[in-house]
Amino acid sequence: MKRSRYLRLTLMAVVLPAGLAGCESGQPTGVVLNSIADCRAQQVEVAQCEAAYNKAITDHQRVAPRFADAVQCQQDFGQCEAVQEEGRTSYIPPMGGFLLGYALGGGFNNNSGMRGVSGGVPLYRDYRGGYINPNGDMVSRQPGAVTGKRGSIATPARAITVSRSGFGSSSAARGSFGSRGTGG
Amino acid sequence: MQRILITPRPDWKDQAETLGFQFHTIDGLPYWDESAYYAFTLRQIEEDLEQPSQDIHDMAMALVGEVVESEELLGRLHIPPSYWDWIAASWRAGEPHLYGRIDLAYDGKGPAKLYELNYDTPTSLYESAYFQWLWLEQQIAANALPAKADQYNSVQEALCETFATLAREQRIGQRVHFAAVRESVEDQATVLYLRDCANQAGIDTALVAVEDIGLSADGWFTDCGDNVIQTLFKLYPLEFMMEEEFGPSLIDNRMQLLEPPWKAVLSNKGVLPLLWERHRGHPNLLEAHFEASPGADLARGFVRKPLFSREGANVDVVTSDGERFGTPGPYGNGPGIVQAYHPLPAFDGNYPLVGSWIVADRASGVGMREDATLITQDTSRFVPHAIID
Repeated sequence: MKRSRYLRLTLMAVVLPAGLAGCESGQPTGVVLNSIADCRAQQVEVAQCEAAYNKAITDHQRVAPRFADAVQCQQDFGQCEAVQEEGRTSYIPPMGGFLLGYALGGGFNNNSGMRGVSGGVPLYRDYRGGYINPNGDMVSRQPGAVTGKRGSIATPARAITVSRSGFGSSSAARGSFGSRGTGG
Repeated sequence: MQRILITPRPDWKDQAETLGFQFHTIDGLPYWDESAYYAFTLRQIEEDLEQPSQDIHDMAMALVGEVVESEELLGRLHIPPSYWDWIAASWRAGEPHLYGRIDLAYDGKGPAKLYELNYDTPTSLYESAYFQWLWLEQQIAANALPAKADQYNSVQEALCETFATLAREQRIGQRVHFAAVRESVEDQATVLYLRDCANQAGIDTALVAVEDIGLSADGWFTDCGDNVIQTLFKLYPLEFMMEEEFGPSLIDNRMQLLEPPWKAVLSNKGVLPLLWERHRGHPNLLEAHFEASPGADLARGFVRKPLFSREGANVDVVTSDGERFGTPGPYGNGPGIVQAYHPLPAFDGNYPLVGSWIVADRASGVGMREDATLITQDTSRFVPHAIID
């Protein structure tokens, strides 16, 4: 057969009610928690959750986003702290929560009735309250379950030096692309 | 290869409206036309279209590798020098690409001939990959086509697979923004469709109009919510972006582009003479040369195309009999190329052009556009095809 076997549209099929259309397939891949105290209310073994939290605390200094400029860090996150590395000063935001990653598949263990845990990473609250992971990606705007890649606990091998007020910085200019023309 | 009349599905318009194909009719004229279809044999598809498309793609990719390392060639293509390093770096880094369309003249016999490559901002994707497929499935189900009819079209499957692979290998950002110019219904539908494919592959997606892309004080590109754009799929010509105000900030590479910068080489009609120089006499290539001097008279039997043009605009033809015709357009009198005149075949007074899709690096399907004239433009009609053996 030279053609696609089965095709569907999701977002484009406007007959579907908005919201249904974009649903990711099922299982959460992790959960955003504010503190270790939240571990008791999760569908995971408390000890595993606490271990993941402690891992995130330990990793925080190493993986937190780096800013060369204190002001930019303050603008994006607030309460930034100076760290000295290799003779240079950079600024990191405080840990403002953590992501508890579920084990592959995100399902429940048949024996314990609990979800498996894959680990934890520190999260940083940007100035609008969003939870940002060490890669600089928005994980969620509020605590609770996340799906897909947002539940990924992968961290950079080492801290990325960033000087991004890109975390929601206001745009200085707009309308400078797109003054003409289209595709072909 | 035959053009066969067939009864349209009675509800095709309703389906189109609910499936995101609002541009089935453009300016009151039909664009999607299922009152006929082109029937190919499997041999015609595999030997005359699929394999040659793959060969042309492979030649084109080899050419990119050569051009980006040559200031002389980049200059011949009139790519702005301030972007040469950026373009070359994107090639050396293996920046991923998504898709392209190869336009071929083919009459069912003899070798298909390459008209041009559309590798930066190809449209007619949705109707080719999805709506055409739907037509075939439903016409088979309605017994209007034989049960073993097929179609050369795994384009959507290939797109979804490509997105999934790029995400899995972390070669694109965790979120991909999709952009087209705000007012173009067709372009907007094309990016909505690509976004749909990405969404099906589990990728977090967002939309932004090209005009709304912002630049933060320290050089990040942003969307309307001031979110940083990590990866931008843009259905907007790279050569425009390079000329416009934000262009110089692209070089900072804080935003990944799909299609990547190196596609600037392949969206340029100058690749046609460069391919001819390297593969002179190749059965699927038409003789082509850089225009000797602007305004020089076009020799008989040649077509002139600007280096930068789209949708068949600003094309001038002098037939071997000396007859002249052409199309107007916005691309002006810039540098151009000439290509041997090889007219499209006629089927009942219609001139079909084969759009052959390359997804990632694989020839994946075709879509047929017909025009009542010899130059296929954005007013042409899309006509489905089937493989009937």
